[in-house]
Amino acid sequence: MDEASRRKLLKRLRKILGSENVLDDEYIVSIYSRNAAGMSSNALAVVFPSSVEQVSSIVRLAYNENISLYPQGSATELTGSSIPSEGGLVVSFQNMNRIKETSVVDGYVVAEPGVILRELDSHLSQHGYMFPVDPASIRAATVGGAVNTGAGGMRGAKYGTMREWVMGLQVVLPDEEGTVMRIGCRTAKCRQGYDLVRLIVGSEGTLALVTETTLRITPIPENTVTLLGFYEELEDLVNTVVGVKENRLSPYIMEFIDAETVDITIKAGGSRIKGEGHALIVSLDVPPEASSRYAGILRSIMESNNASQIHVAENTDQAEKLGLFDIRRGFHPATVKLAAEASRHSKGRILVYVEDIAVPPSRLAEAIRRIRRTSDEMNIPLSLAGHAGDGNIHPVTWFDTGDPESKERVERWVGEIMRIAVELGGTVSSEHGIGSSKKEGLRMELEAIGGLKALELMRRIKEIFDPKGILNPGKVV
Amino acid sequence: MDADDLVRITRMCGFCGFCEHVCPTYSIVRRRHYSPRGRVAAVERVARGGSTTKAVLESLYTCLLCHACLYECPTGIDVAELVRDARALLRGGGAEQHDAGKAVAQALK
Repeated sequence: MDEASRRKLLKRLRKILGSENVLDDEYIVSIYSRNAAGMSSNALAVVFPSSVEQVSSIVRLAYNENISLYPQGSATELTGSSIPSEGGLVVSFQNMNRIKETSVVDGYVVAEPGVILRELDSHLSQHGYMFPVDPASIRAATVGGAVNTGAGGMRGAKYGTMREWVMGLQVVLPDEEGTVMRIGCRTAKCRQGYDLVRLIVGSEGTLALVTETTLRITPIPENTVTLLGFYEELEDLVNTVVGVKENRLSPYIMEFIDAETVDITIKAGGSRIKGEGHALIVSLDVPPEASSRYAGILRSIMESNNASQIHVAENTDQAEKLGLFDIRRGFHPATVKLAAEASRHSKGRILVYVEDIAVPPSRLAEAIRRIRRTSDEMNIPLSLAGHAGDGNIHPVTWFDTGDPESKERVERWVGEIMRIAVELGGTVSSEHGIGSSKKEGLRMELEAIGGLKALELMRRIKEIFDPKGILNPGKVV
Repeated sequence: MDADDLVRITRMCGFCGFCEHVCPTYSIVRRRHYSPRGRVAAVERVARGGSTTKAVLESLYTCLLCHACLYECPTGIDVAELVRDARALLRGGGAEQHDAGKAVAQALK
């Protein structure tokens, strides 16, 4: 785009949004063109709409002028889904951060896309309720970002991902009119023809711009019982997961951390609990009166699978006081610290990369072992933890952006990790999305399950929603 | 810290955003250049001798130096210290404090 056209476009945007909401300073654009995986690019400007009408006006203008739009929350995503390209506009939803309605009786909250998940949870806690999707980035990630990536979290085994919690959406379609469309219901049961709500959840901003969300809410559990145990053998840890399920228990949280990662985390000072071996944390939401009984059942399942050093908390506060979640919460900061130490001798920036695959929980031991072996063979530093309840594994590594060989090695490693997931009947992306970095993985997975035709259907769906291809182009399909 | 030290430390920022929720300026002005991770990027720009735009000054001179973000950062970056040193670099480099003051006044309007 030539300079005169650029100026003209910015002028028109400023007329719609006000000059304070159209920023083209190169430094500001740079910090809105970067994500938490270290991917970066450039854009024409960043725009901050405050209402659905403004979003619609931006879309109309972009449609007519063939300008690409890149919706963005807090850019905490890890696959490139929020990264713009040269000549495009970042549409930041930071101004649209109101919680508009809360109905405990009807079980929903209406929130704009820029609301931060932790703020939503704090708001709901005043009513004794919560929004159960809790990605590790909960303090920074937004509702809109979570909808677009189809986010999950530690409570995923019990509550699932965003897909299960979005009841309705207001979106702006990327057409000539910037059409505003409402879909979904405010009732738990809803048969509204084809399920477009769930098509848009996880579509990474490629089909429509989400301007309002109606989200299902759930009561905060009255009490939780939490046990942490350490295992010498991975099979014993996985057999505990099997035992929990066979005993008809539905864990609130069930997390694992592999032995080497436990060691790294404890050495980094990230845990009040010390122990050796693979760690498993199981949390159940049970009434206080039943806490002791359930703690006993869990302990006996762990003991019968050779767990040692079992720590027990019979209520939620006690689990926090004892630090039963320290290792799980501390493994990522400990990895980042290790990477930072490596950066002292680096040529460029050290980037920490969090992988996100899932396998059926029964195949966890095999998956963990293969990931370790592959990483060792490829000389890749590795931390390994995840959500045992739903088989979601997060292998974490880092690389030096100034060392092309290190970057290329990690890219090959990502391919291998995704291959392991597919070979074990799993998926290449559980809760982070496809973005631009996992498109090959998506193809590999669909091919393996005999679903390659789905890619063609997805491209056609994209064309129907976005005939000019102006919405987050180059992502997902 | 000299410019090289500043660049070395800013390179440790993973841009995770975990720092934002405790930042008093970001809680009021929901713009990334008013957040700690935005400020780390501003410091890096100054330390590398990049262009010091009005927004860079606004970012650096609106930091309250409260250190709240230090306790949230996985790599333990002390953004307030970085900002202090970047301001010193700007003064040493001849950037007018007067301009910085104006940028702040403008930003707080």
